[in-house]
Amino acid sequence: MLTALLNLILLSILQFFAGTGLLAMFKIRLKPWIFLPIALLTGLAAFSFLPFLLQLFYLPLTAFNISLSLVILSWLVNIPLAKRLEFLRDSLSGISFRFKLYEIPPLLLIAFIVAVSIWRCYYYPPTPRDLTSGAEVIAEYAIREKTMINSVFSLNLESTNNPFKPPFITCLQIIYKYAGFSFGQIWLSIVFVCFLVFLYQVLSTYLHKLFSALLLLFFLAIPEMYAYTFMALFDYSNAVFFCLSLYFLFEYFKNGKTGWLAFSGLLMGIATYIRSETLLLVPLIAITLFVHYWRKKNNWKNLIIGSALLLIPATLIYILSVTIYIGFYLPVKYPVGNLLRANLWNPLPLIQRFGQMNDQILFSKSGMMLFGYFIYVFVGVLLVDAVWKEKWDTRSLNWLFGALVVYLGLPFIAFLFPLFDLDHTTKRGLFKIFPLMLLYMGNSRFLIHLSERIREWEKS
Amino acid sequence: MFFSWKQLILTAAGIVVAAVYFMLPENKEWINKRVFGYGRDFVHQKNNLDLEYRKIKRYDNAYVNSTLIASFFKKKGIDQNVLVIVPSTNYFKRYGIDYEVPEPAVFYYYTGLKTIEPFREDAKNANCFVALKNQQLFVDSFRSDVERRDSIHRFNQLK
Repeated sequence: MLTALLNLILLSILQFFAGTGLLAMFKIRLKPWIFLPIALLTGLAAFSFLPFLLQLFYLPLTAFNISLSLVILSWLVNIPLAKRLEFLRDSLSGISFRFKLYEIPPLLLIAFIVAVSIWRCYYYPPTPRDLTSGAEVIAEYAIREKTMINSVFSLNLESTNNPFKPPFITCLQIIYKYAGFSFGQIWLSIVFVCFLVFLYQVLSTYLHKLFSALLLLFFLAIPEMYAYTFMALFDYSNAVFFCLSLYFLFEYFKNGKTGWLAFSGLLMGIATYIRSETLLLVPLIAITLFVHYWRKKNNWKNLIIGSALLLIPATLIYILSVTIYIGFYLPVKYPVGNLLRANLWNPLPLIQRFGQMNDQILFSKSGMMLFGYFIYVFVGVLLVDAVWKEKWDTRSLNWLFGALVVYLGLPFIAFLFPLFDLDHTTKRGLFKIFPLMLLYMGNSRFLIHLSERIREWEKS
Repeated sequence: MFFSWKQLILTAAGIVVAAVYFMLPENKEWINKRVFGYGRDFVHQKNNLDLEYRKIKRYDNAYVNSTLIASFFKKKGIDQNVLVIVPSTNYFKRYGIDYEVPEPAVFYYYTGLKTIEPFREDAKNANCFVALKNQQLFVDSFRSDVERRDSIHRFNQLK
């Protein structure tokens, strides 16, 4: 246990440095408490490619090879070291650990809920059938046989499509199992904690910290989403990287720095690596980019370059992890094209799925058990904003549009791929919408107005 | 004084809002069962860190019965060379055994034993099978193609 803990610390430090190097390459300067989680998440995502790349070159997935590749990556992205250390020092300068009294009770409750999740994530073996029949079994035998193309593919796999998914989780499971965690999956707790820290800081950009803490608490208390913070599967991580991608995209709209747009594209690529159908949402998200350029009266060249920066990483990663890896590399054929609905001219299933998603999942008794009251909190804030005296601003509209893309995009994906069922895939796909709803509320004009009034009252 | 009275008011307001939110029925149930209720489990779990124990706790009978089946083959030293037909969950249920039969990939994850469902085309390549005899799990090998075909037919009646 102690060795595993030391390995975890070492691994996290490496991830942090790799993430720092990548952020520096994209010239992204963030506030310290946003920089820290983003650097760790970026490093973790970068590491998730390494066993995959070793595999593509038929290198044995030994502990030594994998550790070496992690060190090499962390080193390569930090050349020249002196400049990177300066970047790191600048990024962490002014970091503060002070809390206001009113932050403490909600943050303590959040910390307790998080601690329960971390323990369960560590203690229990991987549970979802989608994992044990796919990424987890492949990872387990990859460690024994030193390859991801292992004896699992000699089994009868007619009952499952889970081995035929991009290897994001498989790779992280391999790394963390080698680090001494028999059940792997503790990487999910890192994703979870980093994401919460990030959300809290972003919410606090405009909102009073009491509102930020309470909204974060409400977000954390989405029962189904919380359950997947300790049951490793694709959707929670997918929601995290999808949200991060939108954050950097929307920040790019404010600061106009190309590195932020490129980084947003990279994060969208990672979200696609985790769940390949995310690729279908990218063109819908790109609409915001068109609107942005249109408003700024930019020329076609900028529009094409901007769209390419957003779309190309996700497309390339899709080609690598699905078209090449699943289509040609795996020993068992799994024709992805066959999953597409035969009759795409009949819109009835699309309308049907949209209705089912609303009636049976989002706004129903069972939906309440799954997602609690969070949706209603969001709808409440949205309604107040709709009648509020101030005009809508771009920030809140961007997040609202992001939520709309998920809301309309999921039924569309289910329409294209009938295997994308309602009770599992669509339900978990909806995880993507909640952080966007939360960050919409973080930019709500009404809540910002209230926050300002409270701040004034505090100072008076 | 570290805190102003205004901060105290905001703290109290925050506590009240959080308390009201978690008094709503679904939230109350969730936080009591899934978060605070977990305290009891934690005390027990921190004293039981054995990996096998944790797997049994999580996977329950699906894991216990699968490892039991695999142990028959491991004892004989033939677990690497067999393809075993395991009948459906309904088959076991019919005879009063609570065993959610894992699909081949999950069975392999649990035990390292290669299995096949009786209704699959590949079942004709199986050389062993699992069945129930006097309410007890038992495994055997097929002695002929006819025996294999008959067993598959029998298992498929309770698919």
